[in-house]
Amino acid sequence: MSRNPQLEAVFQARYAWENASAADRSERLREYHWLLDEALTRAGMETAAREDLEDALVEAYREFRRAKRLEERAKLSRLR
Amino acid sequence: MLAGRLEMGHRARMNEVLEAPRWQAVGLAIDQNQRDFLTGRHSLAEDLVAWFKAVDLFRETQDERMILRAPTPDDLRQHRTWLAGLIAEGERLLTEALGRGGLPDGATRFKLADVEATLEILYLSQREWHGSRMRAERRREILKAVFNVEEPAA
Repeated sequence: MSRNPQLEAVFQARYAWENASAADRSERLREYHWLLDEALTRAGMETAAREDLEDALVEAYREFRRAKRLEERAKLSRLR
Repeated sequence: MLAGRLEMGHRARMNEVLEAPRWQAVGLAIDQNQRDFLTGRHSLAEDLVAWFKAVDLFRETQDERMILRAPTPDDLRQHRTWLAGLIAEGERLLTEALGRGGLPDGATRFKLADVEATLEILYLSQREWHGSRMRAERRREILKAVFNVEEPAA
């Protein structure tokens, strides 16, 4: 799927939330939700729920997450 | 030819068995945490720390077995089971903490809101892996409207 910066920011924010230390998770979740809400508002889709947007992004986010994990793994193996 | 297929099937099952302990470790951690909570062995803050660790182990296993490769039916089954266990345990700890009026000041670096934010991760994972799937047409419509991106039609 072609990407745009706003979509990348949503994925980065979700990844940051999911991988944050326990003490930072609520703050990261707030940032992620803010980006989702902003994307919906900007598109004039205030009636759509965050959940709809998340459901639409399931596959694309899995791809993003896979790429991030592989990247982290490659970094680790270079350090060893 | 049949012998070859049987051999391949056997190897696949063996690989499955050899790799199973990762989910097993998740299950053991959850079971132990539940036992500790019920016997009141540790403080509530310690029970919460143990729960956070079990969630991390679960998510690491999820990535390993379901993101970095295609999940097998057994992975999905295990995932569903342990996910439900972690949600139940997290909700129970949260209820306990709320019933006590929150966590003691300075007892932990995390807040109850962080417990809720972690539960959100689990609920999202449950919906995405085990909930109903959005219709492709609706998905394309949302992605186009919100991010102006095109998804190739299946």
